[in-house]
Amino acid sequence: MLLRVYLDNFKSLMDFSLPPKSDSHDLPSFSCLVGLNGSGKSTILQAFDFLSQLPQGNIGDWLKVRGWKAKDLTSRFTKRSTISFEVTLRVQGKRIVWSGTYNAVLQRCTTEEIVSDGARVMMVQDGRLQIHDSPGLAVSVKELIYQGSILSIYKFDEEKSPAIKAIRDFSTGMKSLELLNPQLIKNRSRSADDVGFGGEKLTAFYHGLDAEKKSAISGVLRSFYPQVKQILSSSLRAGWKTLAVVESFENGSKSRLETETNHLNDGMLRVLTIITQMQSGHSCLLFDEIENGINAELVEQLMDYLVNGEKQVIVTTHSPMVLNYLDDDVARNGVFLVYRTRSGYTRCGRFFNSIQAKEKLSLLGPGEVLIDTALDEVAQEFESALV
Amino acid sequence: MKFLLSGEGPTDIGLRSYGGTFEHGPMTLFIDMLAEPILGYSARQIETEPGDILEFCSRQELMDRGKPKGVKFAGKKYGKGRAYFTANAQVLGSLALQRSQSERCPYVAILFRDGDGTRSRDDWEIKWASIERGFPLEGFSHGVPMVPRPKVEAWLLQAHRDYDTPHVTYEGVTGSRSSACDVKLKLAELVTNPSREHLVELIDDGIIDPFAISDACTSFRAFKDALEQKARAALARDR
Repeated sequence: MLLRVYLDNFKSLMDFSLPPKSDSHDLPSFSCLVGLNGSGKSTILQAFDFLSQLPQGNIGDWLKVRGWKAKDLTSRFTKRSTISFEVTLRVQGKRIVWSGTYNAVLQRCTTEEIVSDGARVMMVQDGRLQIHDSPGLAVSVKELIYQGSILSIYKFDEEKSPAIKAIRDFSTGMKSLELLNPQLIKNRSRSADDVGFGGEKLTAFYHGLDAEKKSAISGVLRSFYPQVKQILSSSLRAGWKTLAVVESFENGSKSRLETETNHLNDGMLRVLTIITQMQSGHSCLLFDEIENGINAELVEQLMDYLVNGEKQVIVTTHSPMVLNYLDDDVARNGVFLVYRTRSGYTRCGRFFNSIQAKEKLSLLGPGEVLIDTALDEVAQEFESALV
Repeated sequence: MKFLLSGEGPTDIGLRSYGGTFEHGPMTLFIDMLAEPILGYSARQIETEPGDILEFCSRQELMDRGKPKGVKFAGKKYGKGRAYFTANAQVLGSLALQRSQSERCPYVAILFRDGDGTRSRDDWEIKWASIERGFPLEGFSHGVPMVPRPKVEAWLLQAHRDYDTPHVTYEGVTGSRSSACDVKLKLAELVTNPSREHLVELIDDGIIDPFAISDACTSFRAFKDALEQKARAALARDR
């Protein structure tokens, strides 16, 4: 489980921590980022995705998919080309910290360290890799050609170093769906190991799942839309995969309606993508503006599904209704206000820890508190507490 | 007829002592004195036990009663910062209604909140309107907002017999402690010890008298008028 993230010099994230450094509680299994437009909510999700990409390498491809250039990663507030990061995880009771410095020009981490329960597991510094279960062994990495983390190229003995496996699992287990777009979701696709961050390749990904997974996904979709009977996927000529939802209506002439994704409503496409990801092998899912396209009557069910799921989930929202369907304790622990300081840096704080919001929560729903409270005043309260 | 009172702390409505007794604060004495001409008696003086007639619901007791019904989303009708005070009045109103029905006795509920908002902004109108709106949402029609502007010390200052500028109401200044017009400081200068016990003594001794507050103080006049109207309406139902 992801406990903490620190980033410095990634877009508007300068010396940024989630949760803040002053907050001794770690991230819960469900977190929700709220804040004004431009406060940096989506940047936080992008940063998480960036961190999860580092151990996989291929930073160039990752940038290309997003339409970004290497220099777009670093903050425009400084001329520095390095991004410092620290990721804290809890895996099998151990606290694992992976930290390092990514050089945007070289597109790789020039320093890196993994620490498990306070004991160093490996370190990259001055162009040398040291593995601490092999004392005296120092491998020169200067000549190696790789992008991102040393984990992307060096074959560690993960049985000996479960902390390294934990970082790899974090990397493959994190999935960011920042730009869920029904136009992308509904398109036919040929093959896919996973769904893209806009929902693209859903059809091929679903087609490749085993029967048990498919049945679980259609069962959950049915709980949202009782008229849904089945999800059908098929492979066409040239390898294109299609997906269709079979619905049943009380209509004498045609009670069975089969609708391919390109004719499905946007809300159902989004819900189907979210469910598919919740049933996937990912351990941490990120959804930007989770409320988009979701019918108000389904919001409660969707929030219950995400909060009570087995995965760690981080969402952003502008919707007070989304918050109103969180239990007070979930809201207290998991709702973070993201804001910009006067200097333009993104910061965050647990919204219901603020004096104004905490008191209101006893008589108002979490979403009601959000819209009954001036967010800039809460941000100023957080900033004054730091002085 | 009974009163159900709720405030922010000891120096306004009062507090619940460790033994459970309602220890009156200066605003409870104001309420008793203002209601006396309407009722024909002083509730405080005829109570056999404290809390017989002047009942109390502390701020914490109010919070512990949980969230009222109905979603209060801000919109064209209700701006930011209103829902919370409305919810406070709803909870107090529903408690007063419940007691009124079970005891078959009319109640007047009074919710006290200082008029200055976060960072000492003047929120008087917002608070007054939000509280006033909250009572009828629960079907309770005898609710009264008690909202000094900017804060309770301004009323106590103006009610003091040595206060020699009755036209100065402090209603235009913020409640900020850093302000040159800090009413807390001014009251402390005037009474030396602005504790609940001492303020109650000063009211009992006639040194602080709510009837001395001039009509120039619009927040006090608004409260006085609302109290009279609601108390008379509740009495009419009683008879």
